[in-house]
Amino acid sequence: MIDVFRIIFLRDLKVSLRRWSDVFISLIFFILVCLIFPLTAGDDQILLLKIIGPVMLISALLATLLSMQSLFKPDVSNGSLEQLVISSNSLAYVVCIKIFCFWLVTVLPLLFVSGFIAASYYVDQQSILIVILTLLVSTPTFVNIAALAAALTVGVRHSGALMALIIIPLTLPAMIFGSKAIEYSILGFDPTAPLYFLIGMMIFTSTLGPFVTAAAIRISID
Amino acid sequence: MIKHNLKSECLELFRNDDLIFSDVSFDLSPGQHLIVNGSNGSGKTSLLRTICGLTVPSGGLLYWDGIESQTIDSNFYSYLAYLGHKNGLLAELTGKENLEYTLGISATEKDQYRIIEGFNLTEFMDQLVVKLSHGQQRKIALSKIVQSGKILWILDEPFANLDGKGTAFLISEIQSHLNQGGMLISTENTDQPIIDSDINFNLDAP
Repeated sequence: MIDVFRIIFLRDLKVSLRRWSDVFISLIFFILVCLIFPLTAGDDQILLLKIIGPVMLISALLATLLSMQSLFKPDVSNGSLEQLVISSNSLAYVVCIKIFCFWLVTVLPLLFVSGFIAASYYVDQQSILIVILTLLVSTPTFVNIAALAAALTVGVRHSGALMALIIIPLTLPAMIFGSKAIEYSILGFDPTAPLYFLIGMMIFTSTLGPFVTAAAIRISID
Repeated sequence: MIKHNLKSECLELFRNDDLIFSDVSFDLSPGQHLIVNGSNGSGKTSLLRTICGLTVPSGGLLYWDGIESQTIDSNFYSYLAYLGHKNGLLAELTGKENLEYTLGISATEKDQYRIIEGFNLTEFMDQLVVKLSHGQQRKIALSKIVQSGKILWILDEPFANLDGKGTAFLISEIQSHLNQGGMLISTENTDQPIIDSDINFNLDAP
């Protein structure tokens, strides 16, 4: 069990570090999309504080979407995914490790820069922590749902738009509660209630998601 | 030692209402080699993928040691090594890393060295797979099967792209695998089989 984790995790880590441009592109994309708003909307502090929640979450979702296509597609085209399907280990467990590694490599860097970006929206120190915390608990939901969409569309030639159509409605609850958590914190209310909901969503998607994704992979490579 | 056994009963597969193959029945025992013959497009690869469980058959059953191979009770996958047309190698990793990050390799270090040496791969193992030729990539993928220590090997056109020396080494490895009680299912589209088979299955036959 631990051996499987070590092998799959190190393998994916090494591959994604050698494909570093993919990781880098999604990080740059996130920063640029987030910074367009303060640059174009001008110095309107009230407006910026109002939109930061949705902007952050949408940018994080789109950045995830952008790099998610490389989670299963290369493995399908070179045949290594079918080798994982016929291995004696649970495919759901392997998928779980792959998603965790993806989150670590692609999404975690976004969290590091999100604090700096929030500062350009005039968010105060206390709320910056809540912004980071909100992203920390909502991105696993995004990644798990996006992984399911990626597994379903792995055989489709231009899967990007189709993936967006699958992901956006499914992630809407996490988006709404995430925006509310940030908004409450900025307005000086207690954001724990929406954060609890996000944590619940995170646990729900990351425990059930890999099983559904594994089933989708089996259908896709048939 | 348990005597393993792979048994197929009337496997059939339809794709969009077209019949790919039907009535595939065989009984494979240790040391036996099953060759699937047929012209291009006759469904050899589909049959192999069906046996592996990558494709769900439209009808028929497959038993490993008397238990249906796709049920949760079956330990079919602990004994299966499959190589299809795709090599299953990650282009961003070197040959060595590809072997290192493969699940279920049980060969000893000495054996691994012998197999790599036998396929004439030693000097290429530190290069990225993407920079190797098709033949060299195929050899790395085949060396993974040989090192896997699994009982049932399913190989789709194993000799495609191989040079003379690689072919000779693979034949000797397959012979010793069969002599040690292993099983092999392979496809060939030549009329002259490279290795003798115990069971021959022709998909062209009406």
